[in-house]
Amino acid sequence: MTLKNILVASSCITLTLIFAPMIDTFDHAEALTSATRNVPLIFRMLGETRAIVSTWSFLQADVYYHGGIYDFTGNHTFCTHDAKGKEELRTHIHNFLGRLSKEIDITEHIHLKGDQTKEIIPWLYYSAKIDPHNTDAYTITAFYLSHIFGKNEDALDFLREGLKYNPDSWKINFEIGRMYFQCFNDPEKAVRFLSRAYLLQKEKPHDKFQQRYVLTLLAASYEAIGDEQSALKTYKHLSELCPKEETFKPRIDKISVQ
Amino acid sequence: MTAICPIVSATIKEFIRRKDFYVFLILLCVLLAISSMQNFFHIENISRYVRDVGYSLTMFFSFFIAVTFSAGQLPREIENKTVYPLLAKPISRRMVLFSQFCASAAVSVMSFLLFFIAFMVFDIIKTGSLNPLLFVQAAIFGTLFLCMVCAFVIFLSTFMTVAANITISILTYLFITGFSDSLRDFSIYAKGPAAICSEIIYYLIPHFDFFNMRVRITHEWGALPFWVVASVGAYTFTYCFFLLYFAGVIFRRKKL
Repeated sequence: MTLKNILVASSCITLTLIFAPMIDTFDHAEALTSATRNVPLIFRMLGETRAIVSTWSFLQADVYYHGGIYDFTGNHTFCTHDAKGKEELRTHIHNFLGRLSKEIDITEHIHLKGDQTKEIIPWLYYSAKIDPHNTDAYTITAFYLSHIFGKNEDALDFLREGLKYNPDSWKINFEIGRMYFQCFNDPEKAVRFLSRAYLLQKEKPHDKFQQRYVLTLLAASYEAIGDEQSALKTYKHLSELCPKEETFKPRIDKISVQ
Repeated sequence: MTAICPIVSATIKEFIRRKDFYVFLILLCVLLAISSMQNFFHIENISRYVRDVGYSLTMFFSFFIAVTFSAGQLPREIENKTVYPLLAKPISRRMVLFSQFCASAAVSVMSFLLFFIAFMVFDIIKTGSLNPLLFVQAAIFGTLFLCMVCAFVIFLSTFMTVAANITISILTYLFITGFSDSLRDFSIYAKGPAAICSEIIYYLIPHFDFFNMRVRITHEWGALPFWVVASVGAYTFTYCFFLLYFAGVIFRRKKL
């Protein structure tokens, strides 16, 4: 009887050890592919062009942010902030129709301010809904929701939805960590997400500044929960990453003294 | 005028009997209602995208009606042989074309104005305010735009089949609204023969882009100066006159 129990128990443990990684892999694959299934039918019909439509919607948000005008080519020769540039353009156009066209066009360069920024939210929202793998749409929407409109709960829910579809996105993990640290004053949760963001970031191409964002917040979160060893290690890493930056030195000295 | 009125009124009656307009009007109202009722994170008074969608749909539906209706006018008359009694009345071929232009423009403008009123009602409900001068200008520009589209399509219908006419008209519209600015900028920087060529092309193409008030209406930019509206009106009148004149020349030489 005892031998039978031992055999059953050991079989269960063996099976668990064999299948656990497979279940993990399955869960991970499920999370990545469920995004497509949860997209509304009308957007699913777009097929692979969803990514293009989503990017277009994202760019529309940028166009709205600039009052309906934006030069994607980056050619701002005549896209002016003042009347001087407009006058400069008029002198270049000799034909009447060209001048008329320029009078009808709007060439002033503006940015939406404060409450007006709400106008970009629908495009960002649809950008994420059309293509749930568009991680920038999630992070930027959350940024505006929390910073401009003070809707921290909504922002966090939206980011969690994004994380469900993009578990490997360092940007979403970082943004959630940032929100826990800055908006919810919960450094323990912040450490969990920021350290995951750091690990994921190492696997993907990124620049020094992006790494600095993650590590700075991670170090501050370690400090806030009282994990000074980890904080010191992270600050030293930051100091090596940005040798010219002097803001980390006082932090390192302070923790070392303690 | 006595010859034009019966043709125009008959065309309007035919248009009322067709279902296109009603389908577009219902579709516009449904899409505007859905857009207006969308809730984005409980943020109130998000209105620009509703205005954007509303104005774009209004213009697109009106453009579609103008193109499909104008393209079928002359070929249908020839195919049904109803053009012979018309010419026997006697009305000149130029007058037949002009009356068809008037009929198409009347139908397109009528549908546009009804779409525009529906759009304005939704906009007032959503935002609670309206820039009257800007909306009047948009209505004027919409009317001028549809007149130009009708003249252009009727010109093409004198030597093209219906399908080819509709395709070419839509492609021309898309090309001009997309690349007119690039052509203008090219003509500024080009030198020598390229500059002359680009300038000639710039004058010859129908500038459908002049009538687009979408950005102004959506993003609440101010109204246009009066001289600009008057210039666009004069341009439309001149362009339509030449289009109809050359359409008349082609149609006069055509064997029926």
